[in-house]
Amino acid sequence: MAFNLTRREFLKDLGLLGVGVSLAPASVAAEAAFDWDNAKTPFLGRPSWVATTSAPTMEIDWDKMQRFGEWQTTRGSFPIYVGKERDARLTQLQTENLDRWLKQNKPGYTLKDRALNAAAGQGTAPQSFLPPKEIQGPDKLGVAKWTGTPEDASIMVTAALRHLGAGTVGFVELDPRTTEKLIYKEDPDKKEMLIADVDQPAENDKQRIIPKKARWVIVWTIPMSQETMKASPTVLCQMTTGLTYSQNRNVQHRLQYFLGSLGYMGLGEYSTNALGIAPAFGTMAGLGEMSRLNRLISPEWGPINRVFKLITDLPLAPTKPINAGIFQFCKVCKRCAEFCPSKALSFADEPTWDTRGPWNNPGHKAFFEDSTKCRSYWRQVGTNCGLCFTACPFATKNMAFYHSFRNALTAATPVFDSTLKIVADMMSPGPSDREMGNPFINPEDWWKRLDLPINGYNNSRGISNV
Amino acid sequence: MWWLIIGLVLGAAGWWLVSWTRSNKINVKWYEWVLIVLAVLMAALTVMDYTTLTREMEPAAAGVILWLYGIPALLLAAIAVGLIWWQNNKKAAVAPKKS
Repeated sequence: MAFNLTRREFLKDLGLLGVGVSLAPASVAAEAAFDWDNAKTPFLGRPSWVATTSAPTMEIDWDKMQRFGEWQTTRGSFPIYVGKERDARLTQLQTENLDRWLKQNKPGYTLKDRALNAAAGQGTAPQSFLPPKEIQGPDKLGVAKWTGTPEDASIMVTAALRHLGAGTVGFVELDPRTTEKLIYKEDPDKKEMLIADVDQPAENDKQRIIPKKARWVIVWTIPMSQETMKASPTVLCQMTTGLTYSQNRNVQHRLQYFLGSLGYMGLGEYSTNALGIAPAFGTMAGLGEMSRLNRLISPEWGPINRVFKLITDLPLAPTKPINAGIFQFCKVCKRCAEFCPSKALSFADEPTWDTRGPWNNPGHKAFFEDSTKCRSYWRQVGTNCGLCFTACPFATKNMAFYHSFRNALTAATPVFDSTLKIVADMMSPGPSDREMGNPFINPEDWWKRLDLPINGYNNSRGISNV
Repeated sequence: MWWLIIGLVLGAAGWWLVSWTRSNKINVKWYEWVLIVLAVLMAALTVMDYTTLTREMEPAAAGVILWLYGIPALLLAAIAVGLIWWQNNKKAAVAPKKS
């Protein structure tokens, strides 16, 4: 360091020091610069590399697509697809495995894991298709129902839903030629979902009646805990799924109250996974893209979120599908298929129109899965697995610069997708013995993390904070 | 807060480096300064992502970051130092000896 400075040199060095010290706020500003907020999608506030499109990245043949009976999925028809005898054997295997692992104190299956899983499903509001009868509409207050432009309505509902417990929020307008086909033909309990020219919704022993004037679907995500998902396929991991579903029972109930108090109907899921195809509505609403694992992958949380929907007659401004390079990335990645112990997921390089069984809904070009293999494995491990979710490269937080950069690069061009997949394999090698479906982390280590966020996920606004 | 402190330290270190090269009459070309700045940026990214990924329970990812960013940072720094050394020693070699 020079100690014998002339006045001129001293002033020059003072100027340099000023430049240097200004790096301090610049470095803070640089970090904030990655916290992009995009006025182009005011309801979602997404970064600029999430592009909106007129059609989803997954091709759909709306002429071929028909309304699907929810009970036709493996949730409702597993015994039909695999046979009653195999179903009974798998049920027995599930009971035996869970019991044995509990007594062996197997990490992820211990008494405390089971207790937390049981607790996560409790403390929720009732779930119903029809709005609760107790709702006080505006007529009880002596005022007219709320009115405004569809854009005002979308902003209002988004603000309300975020505060009531939703993550991202989007809207779909029902069209009989297209999006109306995403409403189930029959619900899980086989009640017909009838769309009719009536003034009010109704429900009886055989039907749930949706008025034709209820033309809008509110779609939302609720994140799960990414750290907890790493414990898949154990009971501890299943807990975060159960917690999210139970949170949604409260969110749906509150949304029905909100809409009813404004003077509008809110027709919800009567039970988990009812009413309509959640990932499809999420895709059409621009909450994410479809994927190789046939669930919604969002730019915010990857596959580590659940999607829910509700039908209303409040006119809303629809949100458009998006292209964030996710479905394109799935073509070269295949990590979910590689990590699936039952090999249920497709290894095809390109999606196809050909379904693999009656549990698949034809009419879209997808990486169709053998859902019977998937659900058989669920019985074997006694949980809802989730290894495919954990293996997905997008199942990362976006706090590290690399992940934000990776997401932006994936969206910008598919040229580097193969390289990014190789890096993903190095960054998240997973359990060495994938065949046995071992968790990515030791579930016992999860119990030592006392610094995880409330409910398991960071609910700050902004994609770089998730 | 940490980034404010790191920014202050980096800024002060940058000022000291410029002063030191001047007082020791070490000639540094503009592109060599660019290489040094890039090396410092890569090193800062390495620290940032390594600590973030460790907090996110991703030890394997954190390890990959060490070489994914760290090696380029070291390479850039080595190239910059090498260029500066070669350039200044070449000058010294061709400078006429004072009688």
